[in-house]
Amino acid sequence: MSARGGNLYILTAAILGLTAGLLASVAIWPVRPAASSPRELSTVGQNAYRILIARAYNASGDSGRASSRLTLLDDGGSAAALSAQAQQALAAGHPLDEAEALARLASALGASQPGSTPATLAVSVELPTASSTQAPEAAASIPTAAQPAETHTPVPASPTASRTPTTVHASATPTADQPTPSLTPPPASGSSFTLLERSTECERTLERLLRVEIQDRQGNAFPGQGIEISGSEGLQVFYTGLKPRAGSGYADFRMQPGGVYNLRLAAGSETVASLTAPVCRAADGSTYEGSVLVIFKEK
Amino acid sequence: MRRLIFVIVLLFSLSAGFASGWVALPALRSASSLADLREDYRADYVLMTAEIFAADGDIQAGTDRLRELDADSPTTAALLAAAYARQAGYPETDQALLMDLARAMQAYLPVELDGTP
Repeated sequence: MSARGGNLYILTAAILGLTAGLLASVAIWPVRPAASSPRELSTVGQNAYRILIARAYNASGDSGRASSRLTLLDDGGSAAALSAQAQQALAAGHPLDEAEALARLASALGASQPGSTPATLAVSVELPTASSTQAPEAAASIPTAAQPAETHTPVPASPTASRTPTTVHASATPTADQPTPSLTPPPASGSSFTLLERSTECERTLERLLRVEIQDRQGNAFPGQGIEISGSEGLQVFYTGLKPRAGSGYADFRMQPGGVYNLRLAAGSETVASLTAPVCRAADGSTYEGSVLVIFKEK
Repeated sequence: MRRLIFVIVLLFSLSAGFASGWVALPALRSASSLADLREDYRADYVLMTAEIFAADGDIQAGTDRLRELDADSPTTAALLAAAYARQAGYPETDQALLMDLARAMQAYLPVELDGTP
């Protein structure tokens, strides 16, 4: 007993030293890798990197370079990861242009990954002041690429990197104060798009679906465009391009039974008022609510 | 004698504690930040900032992005990236973008570098 007591100071020194060394090495002087790759970044760092890639893509229009850059991250450059981050950015109240940049890149990559496996992405966007039990529905089938292996040579080091400038379309900046639920959206600052078509359709598979298609001046699909819709649930926003299989200029919204909505584009358009699903009659005599199609074209 | 043994054991266990924290427990290490990026990835980060700056001309936004790499001197981050791009043989268009950003940063937040590349 006395021998154990006599050696207790050794145990004390060992425990003290181990504890102090461990704490100091983990909490006070943690080892940081001298040189990291984007894949080794924290989640916050990877998200910031992904946003920068999307913004650079919006600036340069070089989807090949953006795709190469995305392969350096954990998700390997999947469009689904971009769309998910866009959704999170909107939910967290980040600037609208951040979500738009991510959505546009997701759309561009989704369209360029035809052989990939589709992944379902549910996008629900609701502005903070809108109290609602319903959210815009954009169950998108976004193709995801096979996860490429990380390259240890960063993208710009390649002298063959392509650069294909394309037009970057201006988009509306979000207002600081979100409107309270109302049937009438606030007036747009300017009208950049014109209403091309408004029609209804009786088709069971499209029940209560408000479908929106947006075209640029040349009549091509226009991804990443914000669509503001207001109804009894308040003002909500959804985006084109999150359902690449339906077209990069396409978006849809599931209306409430009997719901009446007003719709306009965030980038500026006339307000399409009093949208409601048509009452349709099935072959067996039963009734259901059909769909509404709205098409806009850039002026 | 006891005191000497105590000090020796303490030093050994302290070393063992540091070794555990730095080598044997990598999972406990803090995830790296943008400031820890390797030089070539840093250059690519600055290049993306330069591409955005070329499109929107927003030097403040560019500065904020570069502060993620170098909180004290975003201008230095831009200058070093431009120098790296030249050494690494980036395409001329990319070098021009980086130089434009570096010049704009120097005008916005001037720095003096010893042995500027």
